[in-house]
Amino acid sequence: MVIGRINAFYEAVIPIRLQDVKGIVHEFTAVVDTGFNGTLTLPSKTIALLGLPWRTRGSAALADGSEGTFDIYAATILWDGLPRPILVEAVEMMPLVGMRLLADHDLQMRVQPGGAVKIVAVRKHGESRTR
Amino acid sequence: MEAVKPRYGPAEFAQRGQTLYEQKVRGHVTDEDKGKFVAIDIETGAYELDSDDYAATERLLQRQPVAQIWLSRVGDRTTYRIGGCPPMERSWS
Repeated sequence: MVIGRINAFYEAVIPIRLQDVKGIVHEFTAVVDTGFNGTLTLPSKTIALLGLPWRTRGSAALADGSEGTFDIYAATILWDGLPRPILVEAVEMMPLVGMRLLADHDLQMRVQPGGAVKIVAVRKHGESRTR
Repeated sequence: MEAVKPRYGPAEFAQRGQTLYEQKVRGHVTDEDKGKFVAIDIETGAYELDSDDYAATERLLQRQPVAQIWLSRVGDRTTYRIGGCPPMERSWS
């Protein structure tokens, strides 16, 4: 389970933990963005800090309808307590958590400043309830 | 894995990737592939299709370790959307 908060700007803010190339874990703050259909964005200075390897380029449509080309890097996020390999788009703003990272999770938010944000993995059929 | 760096500028990279998608991939995908990611090597035209973006790129890199990969998405103009702006022509379901 991931626990976050609604901040004073009505953004759903959660902690995220990423491994650098040496396996050292760094914690950052990210905004949950259900309008982002990728996994995670990070600013390029954070990508450089973690030493993430470049993987690919792709495109993204932004909220104003414009389109851009972005560099995409491989990263390992600790999610549900386990390391998970993901692709990260280099975008120069606060880290965004997108819908692909939230896949197979429940997202619950009390939308008021200070309200709780909870992200809980959906149990798969037959999985233990005591996990 | 060997560190790969982009060898083309962003505009040429995107143009090569989109052209190869139209030439080599579009005719082979169906409605069932909608939303899947296509990782294309813009130098050889080799590609991998997967519902997971990381899996598509890693599988192509296993075959071609120095691939210059463009990532596309079946059924959409762009790989990702940031800020929630589905195109007017896309159905809402």
